[in-house]
Amino acid sequence: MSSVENTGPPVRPGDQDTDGMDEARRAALLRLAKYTAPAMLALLLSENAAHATTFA
Amino acid sequence: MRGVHVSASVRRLPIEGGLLLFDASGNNLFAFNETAGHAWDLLAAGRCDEELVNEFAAWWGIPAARAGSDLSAILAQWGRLGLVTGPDFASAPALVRPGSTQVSVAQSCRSQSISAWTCTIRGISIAFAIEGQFGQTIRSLFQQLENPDAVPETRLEVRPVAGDEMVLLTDGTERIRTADSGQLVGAVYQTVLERIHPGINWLAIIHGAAVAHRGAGLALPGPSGSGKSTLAAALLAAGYDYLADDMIALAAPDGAILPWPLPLSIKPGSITAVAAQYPELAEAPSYRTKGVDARLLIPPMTAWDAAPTSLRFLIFPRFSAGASAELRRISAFEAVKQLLADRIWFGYPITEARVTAFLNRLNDSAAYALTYGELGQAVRLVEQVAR
Repeated sequence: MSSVENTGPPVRPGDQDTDGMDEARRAALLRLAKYTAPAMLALLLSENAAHATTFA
Repeated sequence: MRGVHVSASVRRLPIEGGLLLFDASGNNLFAFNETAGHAWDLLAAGRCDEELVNEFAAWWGIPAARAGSDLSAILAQWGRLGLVTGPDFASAPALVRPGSTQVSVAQSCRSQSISAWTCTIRGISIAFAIEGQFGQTIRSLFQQLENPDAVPETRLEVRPVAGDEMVLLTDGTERIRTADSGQLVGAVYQTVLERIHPGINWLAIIHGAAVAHRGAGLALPGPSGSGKSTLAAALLAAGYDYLADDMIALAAPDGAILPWPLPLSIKPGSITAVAAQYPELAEAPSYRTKGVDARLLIPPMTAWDAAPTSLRFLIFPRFSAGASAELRRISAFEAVKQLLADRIWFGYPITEARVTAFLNRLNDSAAYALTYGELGQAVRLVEQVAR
């Protein structure tokens, strides 16, 4: 497994020096701020019965 | 995560802001967050192993070790759900509940009282025979439609069967067997809807209330206790037209809301909030629901004959005592997530075409989250977007 640091400039959440920051770096920082571990939010299991409904 | 591939039966549906997967083999829908969506796209594009980890880590700007750990967790979950295949994943367990086709009425349960009555709705007469407390509850909602002299065209029966299960029979044919009273209520409603709108093709059925203003439909989806019926009552008092409570039925192809104007059920904690607009509530018939005695606001009979109304707005209400009212625009994906987390029905089997048509309808509508603690403020905020 190679290191991320070898694929481009390091991006740290604590970077405050945004003056003159190029668009790519700004976008990378925004992505990092948005990162959350991949997760399931909701699911709808089909009913195994014709015309079954699922509301109260 | 060696040799992992997306399953052939799984499709990513077109919606931004998150990942919505449709599994045609199990007829299931899954909503995942945006980072899961990126991982899925990489996987679908053929990335695997270190390549997958490195590309994911580089895009989000996170250490490769963190990416590897997070990807392993979501891939394991997708493997368990049958959304991906690979040598590390056993075949997915069945998620759907096995159906039952045999009617065996438990004689020991037959001693309960039976509520039997006939209603005429939109010119169609339906006989109901429902056992136990459940029957009295349903009957109170249809009370204003009772017509004892009518000759029924359809007979709808609910009986207890073995264990806690109940069975719904339509003209003697089993339609659903379940221990979930919510499912049973839904199945009864849907049976009635299909009889009074023969030949209807459903797009989706949502748990919620609905009102209309100048031909624009406002859906108020939400779980029990969210304040949707109380908000609907306040909007009606402000001049909106009543469309539905408890169930919002959207017809294909364009998602028009069909009228389902059951009495609005106002719970004890909300009666004061609408007492000024509805002084008759103090003497209104009561209705036992969720362990409390609610009061029923009965709409005029003509509400059943209203024309289907195009869905324009989805407003997800959430009553929070003492909170300042706030209306916040949400994405179509956020709306889908909330609908999946509560109650929505896409028919059986769920088809990609039906869900996609619903998403298109959703993309053409505007969705909002409404938090409110005071009803007047909530009405004013809704009016800002709906008028």
